[in-house]
Amino acid sequence: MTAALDARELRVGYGAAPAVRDASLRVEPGQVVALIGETGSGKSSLALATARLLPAAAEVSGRISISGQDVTALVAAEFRRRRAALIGYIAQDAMAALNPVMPVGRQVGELFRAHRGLGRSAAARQATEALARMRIPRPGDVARLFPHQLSGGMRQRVMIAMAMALSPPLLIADEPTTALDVSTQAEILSLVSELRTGSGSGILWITHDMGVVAELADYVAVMYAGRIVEQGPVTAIFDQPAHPYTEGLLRTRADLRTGAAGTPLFQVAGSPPAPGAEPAGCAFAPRCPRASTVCTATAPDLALVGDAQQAACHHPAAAAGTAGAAS
Amino acid sequence: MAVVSTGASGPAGPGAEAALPDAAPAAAAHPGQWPGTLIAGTVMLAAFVVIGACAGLFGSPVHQDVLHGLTPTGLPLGPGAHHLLGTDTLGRDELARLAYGIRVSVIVAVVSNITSIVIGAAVGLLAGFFRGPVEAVLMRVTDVGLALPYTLAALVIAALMTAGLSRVIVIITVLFWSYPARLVYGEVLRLRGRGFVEAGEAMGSGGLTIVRRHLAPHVFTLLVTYSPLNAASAVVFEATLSYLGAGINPPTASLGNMISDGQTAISYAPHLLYAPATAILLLTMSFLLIGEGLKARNPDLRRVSWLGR
Amino acid sequence: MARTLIRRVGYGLIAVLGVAVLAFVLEFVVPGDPARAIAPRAGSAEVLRNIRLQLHLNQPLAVQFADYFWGLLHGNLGTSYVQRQPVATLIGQRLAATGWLALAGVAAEVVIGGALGVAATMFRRVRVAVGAVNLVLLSLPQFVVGLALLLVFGFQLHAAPVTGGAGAAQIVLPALTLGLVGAPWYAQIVADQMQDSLASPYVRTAVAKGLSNRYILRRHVLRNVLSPAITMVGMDLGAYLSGVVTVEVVFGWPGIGLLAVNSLQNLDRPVIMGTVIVGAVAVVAFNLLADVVRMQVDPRTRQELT
Repeated sequence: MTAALDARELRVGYGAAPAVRDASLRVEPGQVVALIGETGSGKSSLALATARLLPAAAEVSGRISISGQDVTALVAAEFRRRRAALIGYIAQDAMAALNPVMPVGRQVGELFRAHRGLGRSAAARQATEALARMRIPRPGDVARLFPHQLSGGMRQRVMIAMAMALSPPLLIADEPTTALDVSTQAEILSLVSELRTGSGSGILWITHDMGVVAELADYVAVMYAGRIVEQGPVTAIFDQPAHPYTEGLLRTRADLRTGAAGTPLFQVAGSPPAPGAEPAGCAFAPRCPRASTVCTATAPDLALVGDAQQAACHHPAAAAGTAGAAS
Repeated sequence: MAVVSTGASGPAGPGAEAALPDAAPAAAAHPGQWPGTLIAGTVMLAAFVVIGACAGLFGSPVHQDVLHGLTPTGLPLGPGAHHLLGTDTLGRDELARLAYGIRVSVIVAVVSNITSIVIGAAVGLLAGFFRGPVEAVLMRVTDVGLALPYTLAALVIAALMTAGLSRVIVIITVLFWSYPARLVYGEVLRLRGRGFVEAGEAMGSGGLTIVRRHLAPHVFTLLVTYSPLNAASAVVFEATLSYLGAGINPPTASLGNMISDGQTAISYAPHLLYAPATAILLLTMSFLLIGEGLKARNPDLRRVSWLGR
Repeated sequence: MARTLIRRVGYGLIAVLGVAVLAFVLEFVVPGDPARAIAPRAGSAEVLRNIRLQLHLNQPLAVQFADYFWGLLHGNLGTSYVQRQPVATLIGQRLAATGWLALAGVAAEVVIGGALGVAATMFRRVRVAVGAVNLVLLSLPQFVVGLALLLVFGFQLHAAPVTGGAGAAQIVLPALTLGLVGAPWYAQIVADQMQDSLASPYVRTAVAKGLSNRYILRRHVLRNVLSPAITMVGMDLGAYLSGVVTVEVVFGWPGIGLLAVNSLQNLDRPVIMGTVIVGAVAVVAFNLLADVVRMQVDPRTRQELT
């Protein structure tokens, strides 16, 4: 079946600093793919690049297909006409991403007026329905409110309503729960879980929180210094991470949950390289406990380890499904 | 593999629509460097200060040269050997008057700038720091100051004082202080919102210490960046007042009254207007350039709005 | 929203009151004999004493103060020393002329400034040129711009009338003067606000929704420019309606400003005070009006943020 998203050899650069260096990603319909990484790993750039939302100053190369359509070949005007029906974008900070002087109902309704040619009242009705689908109570009243009058969770529901309004095959969620408090985050995650089964859209979910990955995603891709260093089904990765960076991320989280009081928390030593200053060879080598001479010499490519996992490492740990340990 | 440059405004296709312009910052920020505008403005201002200080070298601005200062028919002379910029309707040397007029403008700009800002800052600081009834009273007084129609109020005060430099400085101080007062007040409130004051009080610092150590530096930077605009307004206002006869009156030279004198001869001697008008333009511009330069050096001050005249 | 408005109205009234008190102090307390101002050539002390009686000048200060305020509340601004007419009448006669000039001037500066600001935002090459133009316009006093226009269009090109009057032909140059002098302020806020909007996440959301660029500019960007622009328009209308003294003097436009200047020369204090009070009322009233309109347009301003 045609993938919701099929990105190949994506590269994104801002002048001299590369943000994404050769990443390929697939999202199947109905699947939630989590893209996890630290700040500066390039995950937001990758997501924005697939939605063609980067500023004109950014240089993007690669091939992007959405639901079988090659969108990189489309001219701007043509892409504009189709984009809302192809990609739904959910921004991180809903307060900033909504127009402060326009009622939220109208902001949702714009989609129907521009793309379905509906008149004002028909669009308003559709907008109210869209808000209702997000489990927003009294959607008719809420539609008349302005963004600053809503709570953070409500605003995020409005953003999701806008993204899903035209039932696009691909949803890109750029850390939508990062700015929310824990209980609101839980509400939003449960809402998305409910919606995904009904909609059939593929979801690319950017996050830096392994907990969100565990709760929501089917498939996860780990980014480091602009490259995807490991990807695979969530259960496999969580059980047996192959890349040392993934191991580190998981161990940090495990310590947070189960570490004994008084013992220092584990953290991956060092910090990621600055964009443009990546070392030759594997970018993680300076911080890696398993690094050897081959690691600093050549950068590893993504290779299959185990049944369904891929890792870009010269010394991957034993992955789920491999018999015996390899080192 | 297609190489594509994507973005919010893509390549114009058939039936191209207006592309959304890139949102580049209005002026490049140069924190730590000396921007060109600042240097240009300072150089220009320095030139004016020098001219004003050495005004005496240009001759007498009030001496009416009846012998050589007018044409045989009694009209003002154009630029010539004896009088480099010509003479005015009473035979006085334009160049000398220009130099003295510049001196007046520079003095007014500096002095009234300082007085209005000092008073305004004091009011704003007190109101913002002490809150309560002090704040209410001071802010209502500031409101009155802001509600006064500028030129009219200036005329009123002018009617009560004798013409001259002190009159101008008093008028400008009285009319200009309420704006820095409101600016400083707003800044103090903003700083309070950021917790400096509460933190200082929690640490046991006295009121004056808090003001000195936490509020003063921020407020000082704000005022330093605002004062060039204030000075520019002062130059323009003094010229306007003198033009209307409510500032410095002839025979003392002021750029403004030189223009009002020149207006009477507008149909046959328009050159009398060019020199003082250009001087006003360049002097004011030098202050504005300095202001722009300071703003470029302090990018976070770009957010402060300079609304109001 | 109502509570904020009521509070603002209250402050405005207090401000006007303050101005009125100031005017009283200056008119009645400052030395200078009104009686002699009215009848400068009167010979006998008898005449002067009669005038003082008529003006209640021999009453205690408190009574004069009460009289004055009572008169104010009834719209009585005193009587002109020179023209023997109520000040209110004199001002009323000139109100229309000043009103037209104020409206024309604000329209001119919004149009010119707005065009400059939009051009600077939309077209990169124009940005620097607009900046230079703004700098020059900000550095020129109103009377210099007015005289320059008068010189070029009036005396040299003979395209505009050079004598005073309040006709449609005569309003062009004064309004243009106000427009040119005020344009840089509008250009600045329009450009700043447009740039803020274009760089904001909500415009990115609008792009993501596949809305056309023209629609985004119209519906999302320019809407957000309105709020600060309306504040400025209110301030300007108030300031201009109190009499654009300089422009009226340069062009001989028969408005309140010219009345005030003539009164200054004649030392006709009641008229000057009257114009100041009317001016303060105009400033306060229009700032308030601008606040109301702005609250409609920008819902964030409806509640007073502490």
